[in-house]
Amino acid sequence: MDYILEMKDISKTFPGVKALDHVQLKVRPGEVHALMGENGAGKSTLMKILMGIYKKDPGGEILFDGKPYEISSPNEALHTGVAMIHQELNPILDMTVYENIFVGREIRKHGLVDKKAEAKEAEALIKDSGLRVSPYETLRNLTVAQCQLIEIIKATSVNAKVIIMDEPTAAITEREVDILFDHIRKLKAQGVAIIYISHRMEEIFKICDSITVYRDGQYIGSGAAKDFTESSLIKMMVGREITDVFPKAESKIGDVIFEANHISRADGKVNDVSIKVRSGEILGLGGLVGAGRSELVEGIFGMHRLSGGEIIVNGEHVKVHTPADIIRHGVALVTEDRKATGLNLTGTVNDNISMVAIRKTLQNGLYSKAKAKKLSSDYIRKLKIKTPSGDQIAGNLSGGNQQKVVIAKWLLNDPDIIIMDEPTRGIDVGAKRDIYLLIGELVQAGKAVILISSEIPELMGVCDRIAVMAEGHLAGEVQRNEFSQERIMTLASDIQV
Amino acid sequence: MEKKNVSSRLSQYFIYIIFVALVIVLTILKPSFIQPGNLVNILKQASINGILAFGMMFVIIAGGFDMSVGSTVAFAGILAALLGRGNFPLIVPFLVALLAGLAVGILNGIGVAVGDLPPFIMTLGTMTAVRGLALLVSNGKPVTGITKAYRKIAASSVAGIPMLAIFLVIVIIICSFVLAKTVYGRRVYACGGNLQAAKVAGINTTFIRVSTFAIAGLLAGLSGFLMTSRVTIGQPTAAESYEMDAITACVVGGVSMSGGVGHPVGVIIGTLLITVIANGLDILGVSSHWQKIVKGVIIVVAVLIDVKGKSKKD
Repeated sequence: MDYILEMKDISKTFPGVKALDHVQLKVRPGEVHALMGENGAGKSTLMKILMGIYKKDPGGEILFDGKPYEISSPNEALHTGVAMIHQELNPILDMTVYENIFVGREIRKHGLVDKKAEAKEAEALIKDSGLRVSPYETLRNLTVAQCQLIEIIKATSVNAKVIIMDEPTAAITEREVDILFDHIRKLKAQGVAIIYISHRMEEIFKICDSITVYRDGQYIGSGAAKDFTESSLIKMMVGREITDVFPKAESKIGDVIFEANHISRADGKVNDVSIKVRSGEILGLGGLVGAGRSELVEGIFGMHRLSGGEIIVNGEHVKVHTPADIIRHGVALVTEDRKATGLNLTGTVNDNISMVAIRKTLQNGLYSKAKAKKLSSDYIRKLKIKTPSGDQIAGNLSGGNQQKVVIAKWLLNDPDIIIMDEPTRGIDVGAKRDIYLLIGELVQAGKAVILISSEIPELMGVCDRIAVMAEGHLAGEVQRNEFSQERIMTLASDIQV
Repeated sequence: MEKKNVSSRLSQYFIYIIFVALVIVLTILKPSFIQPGNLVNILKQASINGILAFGMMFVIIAGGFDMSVGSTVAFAGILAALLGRGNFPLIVPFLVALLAGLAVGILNGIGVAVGDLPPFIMTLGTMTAVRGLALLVSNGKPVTGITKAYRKIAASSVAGIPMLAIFLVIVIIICSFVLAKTVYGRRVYACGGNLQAAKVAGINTTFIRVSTFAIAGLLAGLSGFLMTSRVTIGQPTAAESYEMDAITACVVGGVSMSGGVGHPVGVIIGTLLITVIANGLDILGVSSHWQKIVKGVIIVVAVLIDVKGKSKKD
């Protein structure tokens, strides 16, 4: 038997949309199989069918271990041997680590939960994974990365034959990625097949054996990873050639228009950091997850109390107590977590785009729906937001398009300084490129951009200058002509050379 | 670091501190408060609210909310009164009251877990309709004439402990055991902590959610049966806003309204606290209007401290 999992001619129709159209997937035991495609290509839908969350359209078949695979719930999928680590992490924050690991498959003794046995086994699993937390710790007290590893421990400990990992590295640090990859290699050696979904190209070529590509609900092709190159893969995914991944626009760098000097946060997460940015310039903020980059910009933006520092916008000292203070001076912050702090997910695209610059939508002092619609339709066009109309609910858009809505919301307010915190996380190649192009247009128009990213190639490709943070302080600054991955990593790890 | 621990500790035990302080203050002001006679009285007063609070605890921990228990108490109480006038053996009104409560609970659960209605809406509906049912069955009048044997249930005591309190203790023991020790209990927490995660982990979340409402309904039925015995008549308008007292006991006792968090001990203290406030202010001669104000303040402060404690941890 060649394949552990065969999905043949799978289709899925939602009201009005054909999400999958006769799609194929064949996975061998002991391989890491990448599913590639832009958001909306159908990867998630296919995986949800495999997990029994969605039901496939009649026709087509799924074989698991050579036998027909007919399941109707995640529970049955788990019992058959298919586990999934979801993109949207699902920890139960108020439960302990061991309770989370064993949720849904509690160890029993005389019909009751055997907490001791659970804690003991959890401890062994945690130790195996290289993580250092107590099984009795509550998840609320862990970092996002730690929660993610717990989730991975959970999925790998059910003895699954196929494990689906949906963007498992989206929120974890380099070191933790290494731990994860060690895990994956161990699983491979045990004959477990991994279906791996990620937007990070380097990872795909580092860990995956085969690749299957989808586009717009269609099966495009499949093959061994070594037969692909980065550009051939992108071409298959996007359906057209993308020559430069990081388009860099020429712009005229002018005077300093934004300065934040000696910023320290009251909670101690940022200490004495100074940054400045000139008009027409893109400043990158690099560093590891938890280095304090988001904390810095959120502090500057008035989302957290500062214990010291001054902020100067366009030569004017600004006292920032709330975000409204600094927004008024022409600063925008595209926050890291678009779902939590970026969007009103239940509101329409129009509602979201007019959220900040609501004054522009007023007519005789009252909110004008027609005006809001017109303003937002400009930005839907300019930013190439894929939505049936401005009346679509924002939560229904794909990640990349949601991100564009957040950006549109700020641009409508016509800011001079735009801070973007991980604007390309979890979005597809095409949308990423659109965002890079947009950043280029902004600086060409004389605005300044501060870009936070955990992907060093992205920072090096886009920025004029990179400030690197480590453990809450500024570790150093690198000019474009001195950019190198090693130099930035060294600063980020705060090793003095 | 040190400071953070202290404040989160404090919020954890806040309710116990308040409780002990209250008891001490009341004892100093009015030594008769601590007399055995009054303590028995407090237990008696706490019983029905306590039983309801324990049912409510399951629902809230699983991420729900039940407005209908007060009406269910009245409805079950009326049925028990109608069947408890010597026409049937006492076991019949007992079982019918339980089944009536269970039926309302299951209906709530199905509305919420299967019909996907917000718990507030679903149980607001049953709260209204079941109250109507109680009025309909009783023709809007109190049902009198229950047997002596039935009346005796609430009036009697064993070794000085009122029967009502014994019922409460049994409920507490069973519920605490189920929540803390069984797989079912663990899954109730999982559902309330993160419904999606519980589903993905292979838990039958529909069953868990329906069953928590069923437990609340069942215990409301039991309360109805006991209530009729206690007041010796079936009142269709009885137990008005009892659900609020049950919710208060839970919330004050540290059960999180967003689900996934809560311990039986907290709910016991929450129940006793409400009763002690009422009883203490009564014997101090404070008007019942003031009692409401005090209760309201305690609810808000208790939750405020809880919320602050949590956000510090983040």
